[in-house]
Amino acid sequence: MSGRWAPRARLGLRDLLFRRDVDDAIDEELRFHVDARADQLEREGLSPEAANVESLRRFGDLDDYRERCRTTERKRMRRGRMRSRLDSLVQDFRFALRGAARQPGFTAVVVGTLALAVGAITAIFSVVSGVVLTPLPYEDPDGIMIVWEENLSRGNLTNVTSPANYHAWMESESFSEIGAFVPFSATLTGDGEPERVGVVRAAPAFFSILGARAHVGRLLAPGEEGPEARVAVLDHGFWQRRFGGDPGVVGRAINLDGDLYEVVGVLPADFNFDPPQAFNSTGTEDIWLPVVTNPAWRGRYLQVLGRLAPGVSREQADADLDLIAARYEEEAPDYNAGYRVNVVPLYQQIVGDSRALILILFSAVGVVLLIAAANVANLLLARATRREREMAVRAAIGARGGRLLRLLLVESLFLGLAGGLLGVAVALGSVKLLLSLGPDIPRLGEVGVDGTVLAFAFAVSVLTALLFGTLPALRAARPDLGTALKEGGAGGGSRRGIVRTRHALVAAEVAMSLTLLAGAGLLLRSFQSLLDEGVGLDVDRVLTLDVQLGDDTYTDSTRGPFFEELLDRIAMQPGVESASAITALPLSGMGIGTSFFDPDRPLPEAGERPVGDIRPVHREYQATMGIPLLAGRFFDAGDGADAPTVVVISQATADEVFQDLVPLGRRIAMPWGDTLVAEVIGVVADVRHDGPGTTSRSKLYWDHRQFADFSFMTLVVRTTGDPASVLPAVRREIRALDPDLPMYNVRTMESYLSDSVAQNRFALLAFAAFAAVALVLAVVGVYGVLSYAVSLRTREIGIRVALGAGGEAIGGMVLRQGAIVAVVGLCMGLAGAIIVTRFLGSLLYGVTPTDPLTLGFVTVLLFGTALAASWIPARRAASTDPASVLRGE
Amino acid sequence: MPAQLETVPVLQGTLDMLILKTLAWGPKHGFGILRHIEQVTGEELHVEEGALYPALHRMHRRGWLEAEWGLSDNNRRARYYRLSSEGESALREQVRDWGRMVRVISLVLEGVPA
Repeated sequence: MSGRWAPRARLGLRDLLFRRDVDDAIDEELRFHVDARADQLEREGLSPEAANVESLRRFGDLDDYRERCRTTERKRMRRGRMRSRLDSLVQDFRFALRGAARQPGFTAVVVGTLALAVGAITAIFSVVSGVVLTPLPYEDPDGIMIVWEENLSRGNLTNVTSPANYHAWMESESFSEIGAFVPFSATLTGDGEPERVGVVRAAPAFFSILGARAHVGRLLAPGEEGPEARVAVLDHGFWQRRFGGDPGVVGRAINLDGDLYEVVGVLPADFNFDPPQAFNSTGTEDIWLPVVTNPAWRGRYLQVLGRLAPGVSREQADADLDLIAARYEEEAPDYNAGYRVNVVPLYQQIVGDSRALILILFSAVGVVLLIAAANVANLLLARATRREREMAVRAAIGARGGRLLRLLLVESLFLGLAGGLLGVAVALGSVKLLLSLGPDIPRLGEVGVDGTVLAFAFAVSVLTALLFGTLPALRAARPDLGTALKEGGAGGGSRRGIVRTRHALVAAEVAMSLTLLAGAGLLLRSFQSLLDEGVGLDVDRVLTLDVQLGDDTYTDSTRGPFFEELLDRIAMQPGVESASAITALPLSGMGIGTSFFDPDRPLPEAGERPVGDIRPVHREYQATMGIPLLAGRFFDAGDGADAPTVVVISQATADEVFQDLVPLGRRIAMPWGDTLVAEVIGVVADVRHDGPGTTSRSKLYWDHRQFADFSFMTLVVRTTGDPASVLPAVRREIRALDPDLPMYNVRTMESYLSDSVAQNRFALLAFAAFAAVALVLAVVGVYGVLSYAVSLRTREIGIRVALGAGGEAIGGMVLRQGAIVAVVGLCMGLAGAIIVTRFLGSLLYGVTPTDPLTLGFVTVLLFGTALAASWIPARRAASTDPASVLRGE
Repeated sequence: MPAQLETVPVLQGTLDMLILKTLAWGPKHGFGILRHIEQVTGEELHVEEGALYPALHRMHRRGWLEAEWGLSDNNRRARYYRLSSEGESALREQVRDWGRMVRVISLVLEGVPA
């Protein structure tokens, strides 16, 4: 029979031992039955042999029944083991809870510290998750590319393209679909107040590339492009706001700049696409119209979206389009020389630079978490010494080391999870705060505390708990029974060890704090130098607002006089110092540019001509904006439409086209319609159009009356007081001239400047907050460790005082100890800072990553703070009363 | 695992009930349960004897039975089963269901064809 009891395969060692008991028991039980039946049959007269055979026959398939019993039994045992494990874990947690409640102060400090740190890192992680990790909310987003032109001479990698080139790209087989789009703005009339709305003209392929589906009606149908396609698709938010979400709007006509368009559909609420570049835009995308392109047009204004054909890489597509670019360069060198194609993944286009900033902040907040963990470890170590005896008693009455270790780790886990739970609350608040700061980061709408973020917070809490809990637990779980159980057994070797460990932890905290402080300091210096440098004009007290003249009501000959009269009227208003206007305001993100040259000297090769920003302005512009006039004059009333065409150039333009020649009186030519030639009448200082810290490109200013094909201007009004106070007067004057003219984008120059450094400011604020927390934690650490050291040495200090050491000497001793810890930390921190500050990279401006002034300052600051934190324990030590100490603690 | 009992649920349910009922008289080992059923039914009910054990272990796992090792009449170690309070209520429920089923089936079987 025993031959049938075959062992089972596939067993772990632990299970093997455990299973054998169970299996043996089942075997015994079944064997008892078979034997008992055989006995009974034998008693009824069968031979022993026959009885045995009959008993087995009656039993049936022994193997099968045995196997089924085993399976059931194993399930039972597994559940039992799990339950007992869970029971003891619950027990440990109860113990931790009781312990936490017994020391509310300690618990509050630990949980509070952890909540701050976990909250901060969770908040930043929600940004990492929403912006960097989550794929773009489009269909198969990895295949979506933005196709730019690359302007070699200007170093511009993201230049818009021309319809001619766009049509050439369409022949490429690297893309399965390609669709152009152009953001602009228009005036919506009828159905209530006239309103300036953001409009994007887009090719039908634009929507299919993004995988957008209509919420109501339909989107643009294939082939629906060109001037005859008078249809409109509404943005969901705009549809809700303007039409109250009425589905009946489909089929109705809307009036945009005097043209009628039939609404054919509405986009879904979750559709969002911010065009990377905008000119004369309201910053919103309210209405989508069919794009108008013509293969014969060579002016550059289109942005292009493409979906890679299956199996084609970005590099292949880029190389493929470069070949096409080389072909059209040959066909039309005047327009295309010096241009190549740059294919950029949409993700990189949108997330791009912010990714680095976000990851830097995440690293920084990770350092804060490490400091917090070090601090908590420090507190636990201090407590471990106080609990030495408790642990020794537990060990003495038979608790195994492993059990004690687990108990202590569960305690840490408890603290970690409590901190994490509170940290989630902190994170919720921080995310709200962070979003309200309005940092210049894309996709902020997708940032929030979701399941992923919660899972992260949980994981971080557990990891942190292990991080800060392991060292103290290892120390405490191996109590030195001999000394700990002895009455008053102070100053054992293990305590010395703990003091050393704690000093090392505090030094590490100081070091990490220093790197954060250095980062914050460098960002502050960068921010300061950005502001000091400015953009080359005076941004104080300048009101700006956009005005777009309708094409249906104004002509080339009436636009100029309109702006002249409007600005004359505004200039006379009380509170107005001067008023002017420009097309493409600095810092607004808009731009118009073209190549230019000196017609009186040999013409450079087509691709090597300088490219400049074209800026039609009102004649008061230079004075209103406070741009220094370097030579000649700015425009005056005499430079009207019929006067000789003149141009004012920037310093950079003069350097680029005339080098060391005197620019005044020379001529500049540029292809604008036919070639436009003008005499240089003045040179003004450079303006950084894209904000502080960017290069100032060549600029050519034209009097708007001589450049009348622009119907859009941004008014700039310098005021004597608060810019907002003149707004009613400005509005009144506009209404007086044209009651239907909407004014929009009412802002101040200062707000443009502020926005242009928003990312730097955000980085600075975040770093400053992190550094402040780090500093506080480091101070607490230094204070805690010195207080502890003093309390351990009370007896020794008492003896010293009794032997004649003065209070000053004793205090000095403690201060020295603090200083040593600080100096060790500062040295490590400086080394660390020098290594890591370079990762701030593009966030730094006008300061090197190892700027000695900054590093020196934060070092002194931290050293001073550490000494101040040492002061209280030093005072306490100095005032030790030897008599009371020696009488017996 | 061949689940021959599970595919004949009535039989399985019946066996459980017979075991529970037998144990309601007092703790018994597996063989003792079988002998009891044989004696009560005059050996009319034929059960493959091994089938008893998966049923016993299953009901043990479910908490209907408690089990412990004891000595049999001839001084061998045997596993004794005892009805737990959950087992008692399970038995009551099964007997009730059984009674209801018997009544319903009887109505069908004893009815006169129309």
